[in-house]
Amino acid sequence: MLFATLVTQTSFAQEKTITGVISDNKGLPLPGVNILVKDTNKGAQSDFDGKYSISADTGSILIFSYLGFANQEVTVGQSSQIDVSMQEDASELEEVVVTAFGIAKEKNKLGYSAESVDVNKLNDAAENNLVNALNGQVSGVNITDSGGSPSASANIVIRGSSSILGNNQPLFVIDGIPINNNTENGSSSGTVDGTDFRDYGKTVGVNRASDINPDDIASMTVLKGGAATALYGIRAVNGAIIITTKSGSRNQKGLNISLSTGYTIDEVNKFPEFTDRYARGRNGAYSNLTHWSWGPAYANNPTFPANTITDIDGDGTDDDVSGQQIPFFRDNYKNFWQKGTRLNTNISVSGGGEKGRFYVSAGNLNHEGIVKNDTYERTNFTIKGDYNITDKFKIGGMASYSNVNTNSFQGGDTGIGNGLTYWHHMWDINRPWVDSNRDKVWFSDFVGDPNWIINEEGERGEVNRTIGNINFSYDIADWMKLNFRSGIDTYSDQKRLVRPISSVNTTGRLGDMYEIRINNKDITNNVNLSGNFVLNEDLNLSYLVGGDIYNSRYDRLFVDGQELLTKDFFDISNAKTVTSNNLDNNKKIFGVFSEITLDYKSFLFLTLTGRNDWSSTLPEQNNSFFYPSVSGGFVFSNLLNDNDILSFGKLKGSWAKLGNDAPNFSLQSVFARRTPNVGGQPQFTISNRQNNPNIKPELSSAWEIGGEFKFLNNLIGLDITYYERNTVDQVLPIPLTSTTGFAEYIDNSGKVTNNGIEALLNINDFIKNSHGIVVDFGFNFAKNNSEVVEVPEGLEEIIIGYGYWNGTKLVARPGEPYGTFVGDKYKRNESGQLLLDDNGAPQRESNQVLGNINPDWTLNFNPRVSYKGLTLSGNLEFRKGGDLYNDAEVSWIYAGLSQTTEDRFYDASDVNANATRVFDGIIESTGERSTIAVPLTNTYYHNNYNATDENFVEDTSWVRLRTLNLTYNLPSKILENTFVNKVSVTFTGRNLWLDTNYSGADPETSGLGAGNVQGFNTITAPNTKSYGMTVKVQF
Amino acid sequence: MKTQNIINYKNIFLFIFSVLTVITSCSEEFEEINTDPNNPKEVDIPLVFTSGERSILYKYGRFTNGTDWDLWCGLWIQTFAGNHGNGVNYDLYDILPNASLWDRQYDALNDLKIVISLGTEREAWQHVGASKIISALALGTLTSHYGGIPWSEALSGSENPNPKFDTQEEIYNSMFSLLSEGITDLDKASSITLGEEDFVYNGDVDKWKALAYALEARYRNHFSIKNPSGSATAALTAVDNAKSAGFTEHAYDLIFPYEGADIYLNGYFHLFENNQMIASEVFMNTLINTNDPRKEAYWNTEATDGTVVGYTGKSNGFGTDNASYSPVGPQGFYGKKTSDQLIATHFELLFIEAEAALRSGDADRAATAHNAAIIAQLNLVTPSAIETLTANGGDVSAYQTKISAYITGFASETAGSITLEKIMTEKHKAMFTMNSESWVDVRRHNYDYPANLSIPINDGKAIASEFIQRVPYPEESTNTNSNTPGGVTIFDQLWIFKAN
Repeated sequence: MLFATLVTQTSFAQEKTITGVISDNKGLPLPGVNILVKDTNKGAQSDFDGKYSISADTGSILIFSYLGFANQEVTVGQSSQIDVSMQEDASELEEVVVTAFGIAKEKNKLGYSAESVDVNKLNDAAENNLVNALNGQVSGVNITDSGGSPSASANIVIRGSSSILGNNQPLFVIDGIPINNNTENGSSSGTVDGTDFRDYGKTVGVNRASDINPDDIASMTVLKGGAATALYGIRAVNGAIIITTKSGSRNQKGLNISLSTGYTIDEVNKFPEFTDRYARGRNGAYSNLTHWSWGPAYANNPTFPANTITDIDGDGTDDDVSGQQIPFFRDNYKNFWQKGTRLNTNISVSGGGEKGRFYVSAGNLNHEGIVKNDTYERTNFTIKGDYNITDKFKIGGMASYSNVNTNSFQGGDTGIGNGLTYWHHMWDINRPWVDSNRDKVWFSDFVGDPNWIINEEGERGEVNRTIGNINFSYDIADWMKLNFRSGIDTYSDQKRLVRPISSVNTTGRLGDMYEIRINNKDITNNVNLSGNFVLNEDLNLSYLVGGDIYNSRYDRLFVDGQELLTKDFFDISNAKTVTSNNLDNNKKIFGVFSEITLDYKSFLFLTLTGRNDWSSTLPEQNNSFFYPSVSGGFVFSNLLNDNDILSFGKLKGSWAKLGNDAPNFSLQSVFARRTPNVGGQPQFTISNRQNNPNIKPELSSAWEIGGEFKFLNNLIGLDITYYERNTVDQVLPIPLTSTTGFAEYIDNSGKVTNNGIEALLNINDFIKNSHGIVVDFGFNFAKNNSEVVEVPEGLEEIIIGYGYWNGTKLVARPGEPYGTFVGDKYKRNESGQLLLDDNGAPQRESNQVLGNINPDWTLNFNPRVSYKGLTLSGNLEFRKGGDLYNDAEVSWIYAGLSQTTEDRFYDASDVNANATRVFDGIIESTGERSTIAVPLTNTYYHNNYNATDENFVEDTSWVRLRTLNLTYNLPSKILENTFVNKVSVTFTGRNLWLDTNYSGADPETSGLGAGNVQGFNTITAPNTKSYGMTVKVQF
Repeated sequence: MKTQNIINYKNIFLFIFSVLTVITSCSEEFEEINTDPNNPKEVDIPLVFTSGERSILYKYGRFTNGTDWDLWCGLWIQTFAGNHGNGVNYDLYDILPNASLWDRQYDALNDLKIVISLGTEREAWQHVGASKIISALALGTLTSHYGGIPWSEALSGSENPNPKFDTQEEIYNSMFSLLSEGITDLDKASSITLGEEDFVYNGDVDKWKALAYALEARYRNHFSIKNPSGSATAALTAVDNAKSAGFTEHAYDLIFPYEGADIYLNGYFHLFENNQMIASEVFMNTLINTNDPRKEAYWNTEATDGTVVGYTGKSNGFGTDNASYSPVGPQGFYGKKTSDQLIATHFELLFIEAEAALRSGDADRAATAHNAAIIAQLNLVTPSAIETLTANGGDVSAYQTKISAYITGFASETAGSITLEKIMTEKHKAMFTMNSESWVDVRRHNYDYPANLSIPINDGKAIASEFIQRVPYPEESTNTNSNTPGGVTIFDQLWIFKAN
C-alpha cells in the first residue's frame, strides 16, 4: 500500500468537491485507492466503501492509482460525481516488496536488493522444510538440504559466510516478529561441531523454521543484508527472510474457503557404486571376526573354512557352516531404503467485512521417509485477524500453533551409517535383527546393526510451538502513525532416545537413554512512529523512528541415563547411573532506530537509516554500538522520453555498517561440573575456555551497486547487482596450546570478505501468442567470491570442523575461501608428476589445500508455460564448482565394498584378485619413471589410498531439475453454477533429474546438518526425488 | 482542531515515557543476564582438587583409541604386541603426534595450580601438599615421554600463549622442589583437612608423605646414567624415608580405583574388548620358560571373540592377521572391569632399592631387596589367579607349588649371585601395566634388559635401525606454540638417558 499523503490547501475559484465510488473489475468497492489531482499536491484516499471525496478544478485531471490495478486518469467535467472501475494489472503486483518491520515498499524506490519469492512455488515444492522450498528461487541464497530424512535440517547462507565460527544464517521474521531457526541435536551440549568424530553419531534435529506451514504464507521477501537489514540490527547481520502470513480480505462477500490435499512418494535419487565381487574376510580369506569385505572373490566359488560357526540366517542360533558355499546377496545398500510417502492436507477459511478481516487455517503433514520408522508429522493451526475500531485505530493479532512429532535415527558411527558401511554380501539386508526372545542377533559388539537401530532405537521428539503477536496502529495525525507490535515465539522441544540393553555402542552394551527438555522463548516488543510529509511539490519525505526490545531465553535440560536395568522399560528411572546438565542462555537487546526517505519527483530516492543497539552479551563499558546505512536510487528512465526500448531504468546503490554481538557468557571464566563422579566424589574443573572481559562487537560493512532495467515494453526485465561485504573483529575463540592450561581464549580478530554478482533476467510472455499460450522465462544467477583475509596472529588457520574418518579439516585459512578443505595430497614434483616411493607406490604430503565448499556460480532457470487452464513450470539449476568430501566412500573402501576396490590384489595366482597398477609417476629416489606393478592389496587401499585425502574431495557441479509442476485449473464455465470457485490439480515432481560427476549419493547433503560445518558426505539417508499430486479446491 | 492537538501532544508524551521506562529497566538487568547460570565463577577447593587428582591419575593405563602413551608404550617394552588398528601402527613405530596425554595433563595441572594458589591463600596446606605431589608425578610422566616440556611459563592462559620449553634438567629440578615442598606443606597446620574428596588415599596425610618419598626415590634413581653414585645415594635415602613413612604395603600404593561402571572401567579391560594390543610373544615365552606363576595372573586363555588360544603371544611387528592371541582380562589381576590401575607401588620401591644398592656396591642389600620385591608382587597378583583356578576347579595346590618353586628359583638371590640383569629383568616382569615407568627403565639400560628385546620385524625386515626413544611433540603444540622444538624424531635420546 502506498502511504497516504493527505494535505489540503485553500483552493482557487472553480474548485468543487468531487465524490464518487471506486470499485474493481468485479464491482466490489476498493478501499485505499489513491486519488491525486495531477500536477498538484492534492490527494485523497477511498474509504472502506470505496467512496472518496476530493477538491479539484474543472478541467483538472484526477489520477486514480492502486497497487495491482492499472492507473486511470479522468478529466473533471461538469459532473461532481466520478465513479471509477479499476482494472487489475498483475504486472504491477510484483513491484511491492515487504521490507523491515513489515513495511511494504515499492521496489522501484529501493536502493538495495530485495527479492520476492513466488509463494505458489513454495507450496508446489512439496518440501516439509520451508527453507528447502526456497531453494533455487532467489539469487545469492545458498541452501543445502542435509539429507533425505523427513526431518533433515537445511542450511541457508546469503551471499557467503562472513563469520568464521559464529552464526551465518539469516533472520526469519513472521509478521514483523523475529522467530527462532535453531537446529538442535542430541548431544549433551546441544552442539555438534565436527571437532570429534563422534559428533557424526548424534541425531541432528530439524531447523525450527520448518515448523511453519508454507500454506499460510502470503508473501516472502529475501533481504540480503547491508542496508536492507540495517533496521533490524544485530540479529539480521546475515540477511533476513521477511514472511507475511495470509490475512483474509475485507469486504468479501461470504467466506473464502480453501482446501487442498497432496500426496507424494519419495525414493532415493542417486546411489553410490559398489562392487559385489568379494565376500566377507580379510586379506583374501574368510573370517568370522571381521567387518570387512576383503574376503575371497565370489567368482572362485568360495566356501566357509572348516569349523566356521556363525549365525548365518539371523535366527539367533549359530550354525556350523563349514564347507558350505558362501551365500551371495546383491544390492543390500539399495534395498535398505524404502519408498517414502507424504500426505499434506490444508484447510483455510478467511473473510472480512467493512472494518475487519480474519484468516483461520489448519494443516497436517505426515511423512514417512525412505528409512523405515523415520517419520515427521506436523500439525498447524493459525488464526489471524485485524479490525478497525475507529478510522484511526486498528488492532490486529495472530496466533499460530505447530505440533511436530518426529522419530529419527543417528547417523555416523553410532547410527545406521556404521552398519551400512560394513554390510557384507553374505547376508540379506532384510534379515531379522532379533530372535524369538527379542534378543539381538547381530554378530558385532562394536558396529551397530542398522535394522536394530531403525526398529529398536530411535529418537522421539515432540515440539509444541506458538508464534503470535498483537499489534495496533493509531493515526495520530495525517503525517504520523503510531505502531505497536508485541510478539512471542515460544516452543518446547522434548526428545528422548532409548538404546535398549544389548545395543552396540552403549557402554558395556548395557543400553542407555537420554531425555532432553528444551524451552525457548523469544519476545520482541516494537514501537514506532511513521509517516509522510510532502515538503514541496517535488520532494516527499517519509520517516520511521522507534525502538524495540528483544528478550531471549533458552533453557535446556539434558538427562543422561547409563546402563538400563530392565528390558523393555523405557523410563529414566530404569537407568543405573543418571547424570544431568543444564544450559540456560539469556539475552536482551535494546535498540533504537530511525529511517528517513527522501523522494524527489518519484525518480530520485535517498534513504538514511541509523540504529543503535545495546546488548547484554557485551561488557558494560562497551555494550552500545551504532550502525548507519545509506541507500539511493535513480530512475533515470524518467528523464528519457517514453520509448519502447527502455521503459524503465534505475541505478541503485547502498552502503551499510552492521554489527554482531558476542556469544552469551563470554566475559568471565568459569568452572564446570565434570560428571560422572569419581569414586563417588563430585568434581569441578576450570573451564578450558578463557573468557575476555574486554570483548568488542563484530563489525561488518557492506556496499552494493546495481541497476534494474525493463526493455521492449516489459518483455525483458534485468536486475543486476554487485556487492561486497567485509567482516572484522570477529569474536573468535583463539586456540591456545594446551600447556597454557586453556584450550582457547575469546578475542576479536580475523577478517573475512565476500563479494559477488547477482543477476535476474525475466522474459515475459515472449511468444505473445494470440491463442492464449503464455511463455515466461526467469533466470537468476549468482556468483560469490569468499576470502578469509586474516586470522589471529600466529595461527595458520581456524578450524571450522573435521570430517569423520581421516582428520581432513574444514578451515578458514588466510588467502583461501571460507570453508576450505585441508588434508593430505599425493606428493608431486613441480611439473605435477607423482613422486613414488621405492616400491612404486604414491606418497603423501600433508597440510595441503584440497578444495572448498563454495560453488563458483549458480544459475537457475525458471520457465513457465501456460495455456488455457494448464500451466507447466519448473526450476532447472546449473551449479558449477563446490567441493564435497566423500567420507562415505572412505568408509566403503575401508570395508572393501566400494566400486573403487573392485581391482584388488590378494595373490598373484588368484585370477579374480590379482590386480596391480603401475602408477604414472617417477620414483623419487632414482628420478626414473616407474615400471613397478604395485599390488592393490587390502593394505594399499587402507593405508595408502584411504589416507590420501585428495582422493575424496570431489567437485559437485550439477544440473538438477529441482521442480517440475503441471497444474490444471478447471475452467470456470464448469464451476459457474456450483458453489465451488476454483479447482486445480497439480502434478509435482521434485528433484526428478540430476546430472553430476560426483561419485557418491546426491551431493546436496551434509553429515552434521545445518551449521557452519558443511561439505562432509557421511553415510546418512541419501537425498530423494519425489513425485505426486495435489488437489486444491476453493469455495 | 484543539482536540487533535491535545491528542498529538499526549501521544508523543506517552510514547517517550514508555520508551524511557523501558530503557532504564533494561540497563540494570544486563549484567545479571550475562552471568552464566550454568557454571560458577568460584568453587570450593576440595571439588577442584578431586578434578585435578582424577584427571592426572586417570591417564595411566587408558585406552582412549590410541592417544594415550602410557598404555601404548607397553608395545615398546614388548610386554604387548600390536594386534590391529593403532596397536599395529605403534608397534611398527608409525607414531602420530597425538595430544591426549599432554592436554589432559596440563588441564589437570591447571586445576591443581588453582588448588595450590587458593590453598596457599587460605592455608589449606594438606590440599596444597597433595596437589604438589601429584603435579610432580604428572611432570615425571610427561618428561619421560617428551623430554623438555613447558612448565615455568605454562598455565598462564592468554598472557603467555607461547610458553617456553624448560629443559629436562629444569623439569627434574622443579619436580624435586615440588616433592620436598609437598612434604613440608603436609606437616603444616591446615585450615581444612583433606577428606573423602581424595578418592585414592581418603585424606590420609601419612600416605601422601610416604608416596612423596617413594616418588623421590624413583626420580633420583633416573639419574643412574648421569650420576651413578650420587643418584644411588640419593635414591637410597629416599627409599629409607619412604619405608619408615610406611610405603611397604599395598594400602600405601598409589592406584586409580575403578568402580567398573560407566567411564570408570579399567583401561586394560577396554583393551581386552577392542583387542588392539595383545600378549607379546617374547614376553609370553619368558613367562612360560621360567615357569612363572604370573602367567596365569596376567593373561587369559580365551580371546575376546571366545576362541580358546591358551597362552600364546604375538610377535612384535607382525601386523594384522586373522589369528587370535592371549589377552589381558577379563579376569586376572590386571584386566577386570574393576581392577585397580597400579601407578606407584611398594614393590617398585624395593626394586629401586635393589638397583641403587647394587650400584653403590652393597650387593647384600641389593639381593635382599630384590627377593623381597618379587615376593611382594607375587603376593599381590597371584591370589587372583588362585581365585580363577578355584572357580574353574583347577589344581590350586599345583599352582601354589609353582609359586614356591619360582621363589626358590628367582627370588632367592644372594650377594654373590645378584646381577643388574636379574634385577631389571624381574622388575620388567613386575612392572607389567605400569608401562611408562617400565619404559624409562628399559631406555635407561639401552634396551639391554630384558635381554630378549629386539627391534620388531615386519615382513622379514626390521622396522628401524634403532629402538624408539621418545614420542613426538603433539601436533597442537607444534601448530600453536612457536617455542615448540622442531625437527624432533622418535629416535632422539632424551637428556636423562645420556651419559653427559
